[in-house]
Amino acid sequence: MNQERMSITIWFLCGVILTVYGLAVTISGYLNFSNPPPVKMAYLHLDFWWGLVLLAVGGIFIIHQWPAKVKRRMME
Amino acid sequence: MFQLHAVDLFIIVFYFVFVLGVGFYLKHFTRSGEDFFMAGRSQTAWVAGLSFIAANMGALELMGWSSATYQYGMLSVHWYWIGAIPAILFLAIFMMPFYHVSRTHSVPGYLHLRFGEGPRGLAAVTFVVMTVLASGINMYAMGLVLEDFFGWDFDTSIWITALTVAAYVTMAGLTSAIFNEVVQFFMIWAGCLIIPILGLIEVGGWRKLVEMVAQRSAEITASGQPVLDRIHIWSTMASPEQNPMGMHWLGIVFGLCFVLSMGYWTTDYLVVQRILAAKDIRAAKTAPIIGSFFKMAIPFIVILPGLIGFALIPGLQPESPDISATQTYNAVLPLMMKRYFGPGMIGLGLIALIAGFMSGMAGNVSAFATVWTYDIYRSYIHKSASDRHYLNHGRWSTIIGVLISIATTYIVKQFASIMDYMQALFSFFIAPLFATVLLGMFWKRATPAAGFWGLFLGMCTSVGIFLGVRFGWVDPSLIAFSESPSTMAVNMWQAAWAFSVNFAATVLISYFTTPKPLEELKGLVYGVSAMPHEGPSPWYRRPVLWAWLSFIIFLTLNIIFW
Repeated sequence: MNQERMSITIWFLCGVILTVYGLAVTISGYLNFSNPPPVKMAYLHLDFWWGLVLLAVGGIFIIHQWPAKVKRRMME
Repeated sequence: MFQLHAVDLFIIVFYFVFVLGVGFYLKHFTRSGEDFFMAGRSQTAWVAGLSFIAANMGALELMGWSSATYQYGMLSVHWYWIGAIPAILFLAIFMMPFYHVSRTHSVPGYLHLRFGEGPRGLAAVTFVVMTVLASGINMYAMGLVLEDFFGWDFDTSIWITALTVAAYVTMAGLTSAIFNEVVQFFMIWAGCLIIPILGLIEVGGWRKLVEMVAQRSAEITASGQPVLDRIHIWSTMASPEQNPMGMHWLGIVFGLCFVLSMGYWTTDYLVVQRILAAKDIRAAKTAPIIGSFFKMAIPFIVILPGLIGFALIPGLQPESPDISATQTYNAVLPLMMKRYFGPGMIGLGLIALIAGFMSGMAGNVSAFATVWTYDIYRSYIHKSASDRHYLNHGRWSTIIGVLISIATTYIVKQFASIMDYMQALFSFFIAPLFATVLLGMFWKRATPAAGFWGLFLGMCTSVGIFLGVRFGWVDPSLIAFSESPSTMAVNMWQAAWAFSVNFAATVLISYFTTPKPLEELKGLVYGVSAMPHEGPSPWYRRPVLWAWLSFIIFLTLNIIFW
């Protein structure tokens, strides 16, 4: 497999999906602040905080595995 | 039934588009059979290790073990700890060097090098059958969940998911399967990690949960019967009557740890294929060890929700045609999601389930395509075609494998419990196969004839016991050494018997037949091969060190929950 040319790494892809989902869940959680869903422990606003966690983890993966950076590391 | 909102639909649609996009991107890097079937043998230890664990996290892991925990209590954790960790570490330290150095593409491929055509053909054909059946189980479980909890049409959800898996595996083979499995690994944790945390908060912590489980156990116990402990994992195993599983500790140690788990983790090509894709010997040894740490952690998102569900959601029952699937043990994980998840989180939870199903299915399908193409098609049907031809054949066999899996989905409906069926399936083929690989790899006297006949007799034993118990020809208490063994206990002893018959037959026949010359066993058998070394490295990068750390954590966990 010609992985030398594969500058989009698996970790970058994980970062993308975690960031997108983190964003979606955080926004949804923010909107639910005023109208909490009818579930147990809704007062904890789990969706908002968990969305932020996913966003942070995804962001770290994306920054660390940004394709240009990976390409540069490959060249070195 | 769950109510999906716009954000949940976005999460679901994005996921399907994403995994297809990954397959499409990787297609450009897949140009040879080695790329398609072995991911170019270029994966790092982390990628191979996470994929190794993710491929095992199908329907079996998520719903099956939550369901089993609801039914049997913490005893289910044995399948994650003693039923996995020793075997994974054994694979990493003792077996991977031989798999890696022999450059075999599959476990049947190793049997070919070690014993010749007979055992390879037998192992390949049975593996192909097993993978499509296992894939059918995955789809059946997924179809039920989507139908019962989300109101989706059973057939439509099966076809959409199966064709998505077929599309991305067909495009880039094992590489695509591995990449998506790593993504799915993260999705499973993202969707499930919150459940036990919220569950523990709701019940008031671990101590309170233990009290509630004991109270619930007492409530469901018939008057005059002893209340069975559902929290401790060893102290109740001195006698099968003392625990809800009807299991003796010998069955766990010998049947589960030594036979089923060793067989699954070291010879089931579904998981071993991920490690064979590692880029070098160090990565091949380190990958399973990395996987072992995550394997030990999975009970937190699978076993604990089952236990909390037992305490908080009374009344779930075994599968039966008379009750809805949402009232069965298998419903416990989705019901826990429903209990805590609002808009957005429902989508995430649903994706965790779908990702689990898809990773299991992709694992089966990619392994099926490799064994079918290399060990059956290239070996017996079309021996001297070009690499391009086998690459195309692999792509077609992926699609055909998915179609056969869809057809087998309905077989599963005949069985009482998804988990018990899965165990039965493993023990048909995996337990005897392990005896053959073990003797082949560690005993130079094992002969090709003994390899074949031992494997054949072991498989006959397994199938014979299964049919005998199912049709009432054999008393299950004789098989499992217990007055009232559960189906799971019978399956485990069935595996132990199959292994023992294979082992004894292989040893016996070997003494009456001619072994291979030692020159032909180099690189395949302990004692006649120099152990390949992973090269110089600082102490903290040595696989053995991490294997010991994993083993110490494993021991500690067992002592804590003794």
